[in-house]
Amino acid sequence: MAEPLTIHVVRTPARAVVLRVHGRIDGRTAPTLLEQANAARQPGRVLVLNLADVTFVSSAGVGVLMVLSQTLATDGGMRIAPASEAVLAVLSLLNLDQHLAIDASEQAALEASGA
Amino acid sequence: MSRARVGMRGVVISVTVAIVAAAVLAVGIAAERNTRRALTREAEARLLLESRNLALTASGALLSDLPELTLQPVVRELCESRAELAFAVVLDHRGFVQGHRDVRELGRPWQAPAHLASGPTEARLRPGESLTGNRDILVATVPVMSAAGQRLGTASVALRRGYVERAVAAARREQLVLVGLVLAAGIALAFGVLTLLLRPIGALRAGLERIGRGDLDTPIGITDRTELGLLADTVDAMAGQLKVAQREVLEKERLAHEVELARDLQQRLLPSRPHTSGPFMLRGTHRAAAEVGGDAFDVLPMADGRVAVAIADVAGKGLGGCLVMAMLSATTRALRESYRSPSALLVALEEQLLATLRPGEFVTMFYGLLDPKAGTLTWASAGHVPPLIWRAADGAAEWHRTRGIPLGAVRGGVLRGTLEDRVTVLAPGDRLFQFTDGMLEAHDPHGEQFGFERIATIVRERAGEGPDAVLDALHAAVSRWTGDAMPEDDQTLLVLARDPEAADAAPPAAGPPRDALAALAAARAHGHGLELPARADALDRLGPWLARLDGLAALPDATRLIVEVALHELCANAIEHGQAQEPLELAWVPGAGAGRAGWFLLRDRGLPFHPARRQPWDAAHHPAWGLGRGLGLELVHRILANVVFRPGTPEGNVTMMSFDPVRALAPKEQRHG
Repeated sequence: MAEPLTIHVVRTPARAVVLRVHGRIDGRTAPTLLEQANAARQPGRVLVLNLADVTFVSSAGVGVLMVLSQTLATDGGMRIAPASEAVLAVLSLLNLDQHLAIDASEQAALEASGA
Repeated sequence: MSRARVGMRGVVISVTVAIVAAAVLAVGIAAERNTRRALTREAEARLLLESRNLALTASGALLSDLPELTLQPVVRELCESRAELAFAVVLDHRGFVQGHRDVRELGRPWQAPAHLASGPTEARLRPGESLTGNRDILVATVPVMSAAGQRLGTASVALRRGYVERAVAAARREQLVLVGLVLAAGIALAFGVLTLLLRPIGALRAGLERIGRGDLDTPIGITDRTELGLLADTVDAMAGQLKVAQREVLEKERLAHEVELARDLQQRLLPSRPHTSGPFMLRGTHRAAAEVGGDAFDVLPMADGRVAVAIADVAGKGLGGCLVMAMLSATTRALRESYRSPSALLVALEEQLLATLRPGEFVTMFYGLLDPKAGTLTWASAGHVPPLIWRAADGAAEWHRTRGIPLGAVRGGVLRGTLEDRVTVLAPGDRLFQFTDGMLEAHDPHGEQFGFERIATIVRERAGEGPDAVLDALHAAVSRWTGDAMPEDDQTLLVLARDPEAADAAPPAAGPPRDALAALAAARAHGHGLELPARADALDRLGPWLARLDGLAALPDATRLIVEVALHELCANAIEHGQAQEPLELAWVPGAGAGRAGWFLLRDRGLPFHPARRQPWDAAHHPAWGLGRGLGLELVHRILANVVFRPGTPEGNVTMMSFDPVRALAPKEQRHG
């Protein structure tokens, strides 16, 4: 069986860390995402989550996204760039798309955060 | 009942006079007796003296040859000088008259007056003397003695008793005059004293009359130092207390009257009968709080056949709140023909209200324009409780939240930016419910609010029976919830219902399958069943399963994904609460015929899960940011609006969710900012 979730960490020059996430973010995999995100991020630097290949997000996944957004709000910030259709659908159901920073592409996110 | 009034003065004076008269009478009688006795004694003494004198004079005369010559002038003189004497007579030893006033009697034998008898006397009689009398006269008889002691005859002098009586009468008269004078003086004095004493009573009476007429301010004004003055002070104190009590009663009446006014005003503002317009029916019910609150709703037909419907909640109670509501109602009526856009009307309304609303006062309001011909409701909500729309096709109940803020909440024209007009299509049988937060926030004895969830559940369960049934069930459920306590806030409820079309002969709401096990078995037989081990990784199989189902296979991936998310959440919930090793069973029961929603069934045999305890979740306020807690069910409800939980049945926990693939694609509403 294929791994439900895989994460690639990409470090860019200057101030950003990008996590490219593939697969499903649900109750099983959400803790992994949170762990790796916390491990990979740099203090003061923006954390970009590329969720373009995320095929499924459950409430647990949404919870991780909210936690990261909240804790990093004063420490560089967290941006989703881009969000897959699945991710957008679920976030907008909860009106959370208004409360998270979602960009059209990694490039846009890096520019927006001044990296 | 009035009795004959008797003047106190009259009473006192009469009594005084009676007493004095009785005293005078008694004293007078005694005095008279004494006087008579004294006068009699005196008369007797004088009489004796005169008799003795006469006897002495007669002693020498009787020894002479012609005694009558000497005696007669003496006797005559005596009688003439003393008119009160009845007679004076000298008799010789033979009893012949020798001296008498009347010469013709001389020499005759003496005829003594009749009935002479001797009575008790205080005079000292010498031997031979006697005092006798009858009714008319008193006689003193004295023997005439010679020098040698020889009895020569008798001398008698008689006094008329009338003389005594006359003296007594004179004395009595004197006494009476004196008594009369004293009595008159006494009466005058009594009169004067009584008048002085009684004058304060007149003032007291006048004062009490004043109090009786309602004048509690003027004091009695008696500065008397007697008991009457005390009485006056007491009455003044009583008047003061009466005044205070009167003020309190007036205040209470005024307040009660104000509440009456407010209630009356509120009742006037609420339409009493359902309003129909084409296939649409609008009806409102209202349950007032203990204190008059500020809810109101209004149904206003328009000239072109549309119907404006408004429901509002003033955040302020009592008469003040009702007056704001009255103003709101009047202004809405005035403005409604001029605005096609509910948002624009609400903005205009706020402008008009700002002058009346005090700082901190605001009004939440829902305003909609129903177009009966087009079957749409164009509406906007200024911070009001979101409307709940129940769809006949699948029995789904959706809350339609908006971002509008209340009227008057933030000054400076901020309202406009938060409002948006929504156009909602109401299909035959559909119903729109609009609440005020009195029903939403009604809390049970433990403080838990009734909440969105319960309202939606009741609407779903009862909507099939008609809008009135829903209204009744909601009010009854809230009453039960609060334990029949008086509502703290008005509970107002407006329902806008569209008649199901005659073609819909079957009941509009397709309820969930009654027999879960049979449905599950049937679904399995049709290839619509799925059994999942109670493990998180098994849930990955939901997606592929959905893609194979009749009616869902043709849906866009995004739509099916959302359904998968909902089912995933419910299954994950069941696994978490289940703690059982038994697998989960899923089934899909497609709707019978077009326009009918199908049903997902989920059955697990773990611990029962009670969804009613869940708090409604909203994006602006997340109590727990932990890994999705609280979000799961919220997601489910926003995706599959019609979810029926049956935990703890003999078959296990059964959850049923309706889903209409057709409606999932059709636009339910458009948004115009």
